[in-house]
Amino acid sequence: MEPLIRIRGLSKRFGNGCERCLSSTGPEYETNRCAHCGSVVACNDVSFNLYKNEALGIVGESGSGKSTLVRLLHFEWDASDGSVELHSDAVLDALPELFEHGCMYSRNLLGLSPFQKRQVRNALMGIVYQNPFLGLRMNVSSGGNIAERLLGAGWRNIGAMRRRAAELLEKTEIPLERMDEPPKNFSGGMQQRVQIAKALSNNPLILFLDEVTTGLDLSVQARVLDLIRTLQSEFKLSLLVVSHDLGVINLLCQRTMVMKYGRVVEAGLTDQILQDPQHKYTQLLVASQL
Amino acid sequence: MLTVQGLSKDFTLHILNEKNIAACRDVSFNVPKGGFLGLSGPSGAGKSTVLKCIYRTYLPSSGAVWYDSAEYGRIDLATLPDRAVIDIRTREMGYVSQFLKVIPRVSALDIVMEPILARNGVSREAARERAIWLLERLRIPEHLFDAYPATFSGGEQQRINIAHAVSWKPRLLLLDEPTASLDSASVASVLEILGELRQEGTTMIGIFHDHELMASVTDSVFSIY
Repeated sequence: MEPLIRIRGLSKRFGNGCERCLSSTGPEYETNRCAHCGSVVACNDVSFNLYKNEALGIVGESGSGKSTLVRLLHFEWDASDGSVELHSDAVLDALPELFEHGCMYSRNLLGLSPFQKRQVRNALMGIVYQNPFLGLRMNVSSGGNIAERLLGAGWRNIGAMRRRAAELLEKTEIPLERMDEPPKNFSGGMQQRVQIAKALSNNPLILFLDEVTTGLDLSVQARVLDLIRTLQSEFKLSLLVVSHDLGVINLLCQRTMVMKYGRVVEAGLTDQILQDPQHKYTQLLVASQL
Repeated sequence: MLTVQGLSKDFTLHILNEKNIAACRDVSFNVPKGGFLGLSGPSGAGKSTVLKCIYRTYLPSSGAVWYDSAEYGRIDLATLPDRAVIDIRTREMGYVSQFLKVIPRVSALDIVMEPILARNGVSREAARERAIWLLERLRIPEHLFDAYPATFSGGEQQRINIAHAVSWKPRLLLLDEPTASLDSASVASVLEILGELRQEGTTMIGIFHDHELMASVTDSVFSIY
């Protein structure tokens, strides 16, 4: 099977950069900040494939570059270098202009105009942040939050949008009588489920989950994880799961990448990463798990 | 069906001054199609290591694990790309570990149904029927079907684990102490289910604590020292 999305050499540098940025940062130097020019190498030369209906985990400590990676792929930040290509099976009908005639993979998405990037995002992607304030408008009703996303994806019929919102909130176990309440009235776990409903509203193929269970209490965490698993198999979603919690990665993901100081230090099957880690940092991470 | 050739596994612990642990050394054996091989040897000899190398939870340090796949033909599991390993695990190779790993607050019935639904392309009703049939055979009381296995006894958890692993009838089944922590009635029902799987063509490799039991269920036994 061909990958749904191919990522090659994805890099992000903050600052002007110099010739020595790459040779003075990374796990072996235990920093991502260039000692010579002060630039920060947030992620460097990250390459991987994401397949249809696969959950890929990204683990690493704060500052390892895992959230940067998601923000680059979600087009929130501009990458310094690299390429992101989509398989034609997934999107040729929706976005034919991305494909050269007869090519199996799209042009480099990173080179698209901001408008085109928005189109790709609205057609294919959903994101759930650790902080619901980033993904939701707290003062707008939950239904309105979803409608806003549907408007972005080209929906115009209010009745249809309301039905869709109700359907998604039901799937994520939000009581329908609370559909017109703003998320600020909700508990953290409920806010997270509204975020998931919103992220799913445009029928995405790829869902980015950035520390979605961090900060939730254990009972709520289990429910959100079960919900994500169910939705993944129901909608054949590809998930990119960013977490520093190895337990979450273990339950959701078959493959995992480990990041440290902006580099991928190890990638493999999740059970292999957890039981037979190869890199020094991964061994430390696994040995430190409670 | 499966030929292990000169398999060795070393663990290099970078966080303990590069300490090296040799978990198994130069292991070679062969399992014919439909056969059942037992692995015996003292604690720490590397029996589980061999199973985990075959399943690729461990990356073998050297040697080969030749497997005649229904989908890919003859392949070396030791060096197979991750994505293909996932595919083989999904379609052909099952593993019963000594521990149950599940999402908290998912019911026993759902846990056993999940692999059937994910693989065999059967209806929800048929998957449910098979899962209930297995749980009943494994003597799980009916009132536990909709309960969460995290709260079960060790023996009950182990039987859920077995039901989960055999429910989709894998072509190759790896068993790491599947009957440890079970009472004799449950052991008998597990062996019965394994026997039926064999009749349907499943090839097996197993580690059993109890030597008499191992001798009675397997065709041959390979000793690891």
